[in-house]
Amino acid sequence: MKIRWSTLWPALIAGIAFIALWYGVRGIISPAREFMLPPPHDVLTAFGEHSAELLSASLNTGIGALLGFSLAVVLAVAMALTLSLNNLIRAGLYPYLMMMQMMPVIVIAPILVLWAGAGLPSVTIITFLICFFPLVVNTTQGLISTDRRLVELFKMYRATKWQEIVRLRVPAALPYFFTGLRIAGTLAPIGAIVGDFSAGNSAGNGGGLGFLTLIYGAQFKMAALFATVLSGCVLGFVFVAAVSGLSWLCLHQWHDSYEKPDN
Amino acid sequence: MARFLRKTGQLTLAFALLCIVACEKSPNAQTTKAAKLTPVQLQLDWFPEPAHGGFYQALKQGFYEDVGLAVEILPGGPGGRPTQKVASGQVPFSMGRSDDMMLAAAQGLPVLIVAGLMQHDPQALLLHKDNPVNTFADLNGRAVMAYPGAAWIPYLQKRFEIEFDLLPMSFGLARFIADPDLIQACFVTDEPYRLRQQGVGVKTLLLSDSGYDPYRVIVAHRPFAEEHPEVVRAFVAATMRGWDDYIHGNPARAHGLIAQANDHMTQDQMVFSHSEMIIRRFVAGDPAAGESIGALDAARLNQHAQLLHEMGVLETALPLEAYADLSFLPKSLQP
Repeated sequence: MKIRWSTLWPALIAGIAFIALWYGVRGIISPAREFMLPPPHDVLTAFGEHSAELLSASLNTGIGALLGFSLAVVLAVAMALTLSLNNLIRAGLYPYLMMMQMMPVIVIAPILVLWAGAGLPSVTIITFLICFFPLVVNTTQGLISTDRRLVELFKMYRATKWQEIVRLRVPAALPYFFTGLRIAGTLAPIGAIVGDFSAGNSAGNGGGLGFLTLIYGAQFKMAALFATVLSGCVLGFVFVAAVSGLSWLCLHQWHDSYEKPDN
Repeated sequence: MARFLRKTGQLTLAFALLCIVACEKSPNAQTTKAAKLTPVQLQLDWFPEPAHGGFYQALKQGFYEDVGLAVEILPGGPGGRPTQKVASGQVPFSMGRSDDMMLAAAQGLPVLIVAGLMQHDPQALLLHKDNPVNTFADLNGRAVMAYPGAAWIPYLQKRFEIEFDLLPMSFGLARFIADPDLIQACFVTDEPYRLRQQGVGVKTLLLSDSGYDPYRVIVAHRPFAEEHPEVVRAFVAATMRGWDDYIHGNPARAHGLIAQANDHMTQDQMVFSHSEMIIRRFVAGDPAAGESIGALDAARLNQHAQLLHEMGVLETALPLEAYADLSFLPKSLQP
């Protein structure tokens, strides 16, 4: 998993163009509205000024995101295995899984707070709710999409159902699982921030990025708000990078989406 | 199906745009009909309620028309962000707390306090009747649901040397009813009534009793005030007339409009809020202390800015000109 210059420079140029555009837009808005878009260097300054707060909030949000994400992975894999067993189970449970995904988090948050209490428990559950569905759907799809010829081969050799699942279906489902994992990885920090925003708790310095959003919003600190957004992005990147690394570890030896080492 | 959805989506969007264009045109149409009234908008900070009574009274009684204004009152709600709206010039007028306006001005938002709205803020802490907390000092070690970032929070913590945790505000009272230990910020003119209606016994701690005592104020978009001082002066005068009539006259006129604009507002609730505002003298203040409807005391504002500076909330004790202009007040209220 090498990072190549050929993939780096286009991203660098796009980044520079984006910042130039940012300054450009700021140049044309009326002075009375300038507060709405602080210039990039103000955002950098805000990063410096509030670094301790941002770091501790990112850490708190990261913990909530990681807990919710992990819970989602464990339960989603179990659920996907159950769903892959037969069509009836799938038909019976799918609508309700869909429902879980359709539940508006903002509406569910005040109910969750009543049940689980404000702070980390609610943040974890909200993150779980957001991450669960893409994981289940992708993993199930993977488990039921195994190459039919390979399944028949296993049958010919009289493999047990258990062997079929562990030796064939699960490995074959891995690329699908990792697709779901990558989606869930980008969603986890968002879930944790939304959870913190609506069901957080400052107890024990436990406020996360959602809490900071509220504070900076109330104090009209626009540059600090932008810095909070970027901190959320960084957190998302950390999650996606971890998932990509894991995916590379598990797949690069055999899956077509990774270049062969000898090529 | 997907294509159908996209099509309907586009249609809805087109329709919405059409409505926006149509809406933007209507004030002009009104202007020609009502002979040269200047259209201005006021952004409320919450759903229409008696705390906005003076504005509605002025509207109903034609006080705004008397000074040549066609005022449109825009309802607010959770996430309505009235200060951002007035700062960005989407509306010329809005309302808020004087301390918030100092914070906003310090961050470069072009907002300007032009008149007082309430001499004292009705914000309070709401507790269940049997909650052992009876004073601000008792809050030590508790959790309070409020708007994180509000300046009264560090004030209470420093003044009474206490620590308490914060929970972000959830809009609604279900959580309060379910949790007998919950303490949350409220408007003393609003939530206590609704809870007592539900049979929930409550008590309140008025924040201004803690010594943290900002004004509620009328705010203008600064460039608008600089370009149209006569409009601001007219708006302030008519609004103060409205509040005077609402407090001392028959509030039913405003209440009729408020009930129209807010389906959830009952007559009984409005009567309660109105009488609370009178009994606690939020709007008119204490005449013995030189307070009256709409008044702003430069010394009190300066003291508050100094306080915020000492608390570390403001980097400098902002000068009055940075966030307020008292010259829009009627002559009788000017020093």
